[in-house]
Amino acid sequence: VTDALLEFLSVGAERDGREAEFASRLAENQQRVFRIAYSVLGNSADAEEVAQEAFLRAYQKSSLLRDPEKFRAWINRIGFHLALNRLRLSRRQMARDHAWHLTAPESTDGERNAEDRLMLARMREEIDKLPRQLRDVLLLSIVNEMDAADVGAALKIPAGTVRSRLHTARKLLLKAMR
Amino acid sequence: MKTNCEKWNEAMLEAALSDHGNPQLDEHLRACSSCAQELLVFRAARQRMDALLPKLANEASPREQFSAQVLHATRASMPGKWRRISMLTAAPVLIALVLIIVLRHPSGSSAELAKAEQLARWHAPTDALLETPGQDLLRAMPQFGETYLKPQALSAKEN
Repeated sequence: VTDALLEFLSVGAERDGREAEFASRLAENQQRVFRIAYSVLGNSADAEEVAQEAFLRAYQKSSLLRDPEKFRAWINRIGFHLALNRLRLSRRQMARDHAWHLTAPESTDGERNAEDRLMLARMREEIDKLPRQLRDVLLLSIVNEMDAADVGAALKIPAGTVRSRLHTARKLLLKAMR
Repeated sequence: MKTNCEKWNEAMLEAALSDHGNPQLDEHLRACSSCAQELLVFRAARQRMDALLPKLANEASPREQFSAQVLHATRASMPGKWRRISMLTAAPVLIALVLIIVLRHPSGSSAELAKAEQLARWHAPTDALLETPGQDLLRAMPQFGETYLKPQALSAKEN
């Protein structure tokens, strides 16, 4: 019984430490992971679910991550792939969300905002038409806290390739949006 | 844009995106007001795109309770949590059960032994029918110089 109690207490202490470390990582990364998911899905509720799932998986598989320094790239990648999977599974649902985006009432400059909403919806459609490699780079690059190195780490490609693909993606998008 | 100006399309897109000067394009634009106008349209579209693109990702944020929700979910999914708790509580229960069994059946093994002995002593009711008069004689091996038939000496009273 004593051994079991000691083991329980030590496991409990270890668990508490792990939880504290995880909570700190969550605070540090949650905004970015959420926005990665949001850039793909365009819907807050879905983005939150995906971000939560990403953190849950990261927590459960954290023993597999040998280098804790790589957590940022790791969680970005998990979040992005989960969002892409969710997008594939719920195309119909996304169509409804886009409609919501178009009609969402906004506060200050209503007319201008409605115009922006239309442009955003069109932009999203055009991004969806881009080749996958270009689209992935573009969607990750527009997230505020993601630089070329982050995007490269998430997609496992060099930062130079990220810059080159981003330029091509922007050029195609500009051509389509003109 | 004139038909023969289409070859400048790519250069104008590059110019709109990068803001870098292109001497050949600049020369063409000085001579072609249509393309100069087109470049202005491209640049306006680029400004609009740059202003709106970040909104596709950054216009929303997770709710305040998001982190608490995630932490709750991780605790709920914690592998082995219940196993550790049950290990702590199951050990005394198991010991108590063993003690109860031992105390209730102090001679558990000797009781089984007695049953086995009883079974060994058991004879079928028809065994008596199979007995023969010579069986007693055959039970003991005669010693050297003796015979199976051992006449008993007559006692003095019989004599």
